[in-house]
Amino acid sequence: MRTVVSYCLILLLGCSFPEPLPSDQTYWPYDLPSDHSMDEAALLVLNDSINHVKPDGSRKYEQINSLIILKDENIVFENYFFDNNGNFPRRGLTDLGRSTLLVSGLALGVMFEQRLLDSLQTPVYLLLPEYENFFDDFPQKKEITLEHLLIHTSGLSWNEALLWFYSESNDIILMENEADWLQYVVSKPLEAPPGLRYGYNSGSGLIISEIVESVTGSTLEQYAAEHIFGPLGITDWTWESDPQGTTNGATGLSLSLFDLTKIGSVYLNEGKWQGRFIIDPNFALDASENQNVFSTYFNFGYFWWKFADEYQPNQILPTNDAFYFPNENGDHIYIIPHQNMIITIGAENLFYGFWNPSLWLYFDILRTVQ
Amino acid sequence: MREFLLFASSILISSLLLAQEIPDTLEIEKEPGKIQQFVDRQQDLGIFGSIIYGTHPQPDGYGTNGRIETGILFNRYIFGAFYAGYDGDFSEKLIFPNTFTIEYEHAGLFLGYKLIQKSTYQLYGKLSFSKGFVQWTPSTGHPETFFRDDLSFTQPELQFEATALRFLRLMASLGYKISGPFSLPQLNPGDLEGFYISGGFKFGWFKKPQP
Repeated sequence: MRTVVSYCLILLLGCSFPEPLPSDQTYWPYDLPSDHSMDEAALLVLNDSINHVKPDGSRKYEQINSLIILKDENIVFENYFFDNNGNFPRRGLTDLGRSTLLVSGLALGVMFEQRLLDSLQTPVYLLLPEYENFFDDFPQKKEITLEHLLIHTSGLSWNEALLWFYSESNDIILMENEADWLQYVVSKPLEAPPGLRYGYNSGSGLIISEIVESVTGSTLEQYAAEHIFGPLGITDWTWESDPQGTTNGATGLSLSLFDLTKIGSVYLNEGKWQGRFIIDPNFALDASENQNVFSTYFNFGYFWWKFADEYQPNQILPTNDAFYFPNENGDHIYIIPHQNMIITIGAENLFYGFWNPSLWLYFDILRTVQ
Repeated sequence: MREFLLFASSILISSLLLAQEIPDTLEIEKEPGKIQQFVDRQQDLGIFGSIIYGTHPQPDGYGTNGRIETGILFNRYIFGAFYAGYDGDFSEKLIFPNTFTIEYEHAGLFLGYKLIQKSTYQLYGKLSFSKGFVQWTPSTGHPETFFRDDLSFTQPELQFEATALRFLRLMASLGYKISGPFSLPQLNPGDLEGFYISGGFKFGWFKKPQP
């Protein structure tokens, strides 16, 4: 009998079972696009065109590596693509670059929800006691408010939008060469009265980071971990700090594009995540509305970009309520409230500038909406 | 496959035609009117391995399954262990536009009892119990597998065996597969349950029956 038992044990030990799986997201169900008024055949063609390499080595949508479409709270499309270097991304971390501003902005929204801040018209210098003296060089500098930071009208002299992101003249790069990044931002001269002129300034994220720290006593990363990432079930991220230990609220965050979609979902649902308010609903609504109208191409909500009504490609949809954020790498997130839809695109097409394959892809996805 | 089935069926038919029953007991009349009975004189012994292919239930009908066994034959009993897996190609677009294919593997023990014993064929009643996993495996695009759960099967079956050579037997089975509970999108335990048929061969050492 012992021989028989030993024999059976040896047989069973020979059978191997697989390792545990990486956990899937459990927040949104998967569904077919056709069940949500999207043309499935057209999306398959689109999927093929993202993958297809032309004989000359180029692609219709250069360097797109991820695409997630959330519609009616269902994931109706999620795919990853080989980039030109043969890399195949997964649901791993992506350097969000400038999209970090979205989370910094969200942190402000949380502070309004918690009544730690009461008005976007609050002058910034009052919230930065350690840097107050850097606001003394120009009388109007003390008029810079939280809202000016969010809609890029602080008036601070800042050279970023018209340069290649990695240009040595770019103020972001110059800032990162300093020992105190925030001091670099707030000591910039005032070139226009606050609120008057648009000047894209990712350095605002550093100012917000310091405001969070001075008001709450926690770094922006700690505060976000507790009040944003925790409730949203975001467990994997990295966030750089400047040499002073201030969280880089401008460009320092890495998140997965899936988790970036969650950030977008909070705004789509007017401040709520799974029925619970994460941020102040008025802040969320205002963030997605035009707050700084200055161009015939795009305008700004609170860090979010808006297509101008005059912009022709935007007229694919009957209602111009979309808001979006394009970072320097080509990672774009688009939120279309009247379609209850979020489109998150991952890319490495940083050489294209504003008119880039991620934007073309967005417009072509809109054409699949029936 | 067709040639194999032809070959297998010809062996089976010839085995049936040539079969002689081997009794468990033998009665010998040593002296007139005095019968002595010998019980279980046919000490049927063997150690074997089997390779079996079958067609088993899947959500849209039937798909191929493979199974390897190893076991011991002792008188009317067989017992041993096996490893089996789905070899079909049922797929779904679980995360559009990515196609995922069913994959399951299970391993366990079986116990059988010889119901009919002839010189060239046998019929066994057999019960298998196994545990393993079932998952949706991405076959296009999506880089990761997320959908997996534990799996268990209970399989009662009738197994017919025909002796082809002293070390080789051909097998055909009819069974019913009962699945334990599992949770996967677009796949229910009931999708994998139902009747199945399979065929294969058993090879190994079998003690030659005593005359």
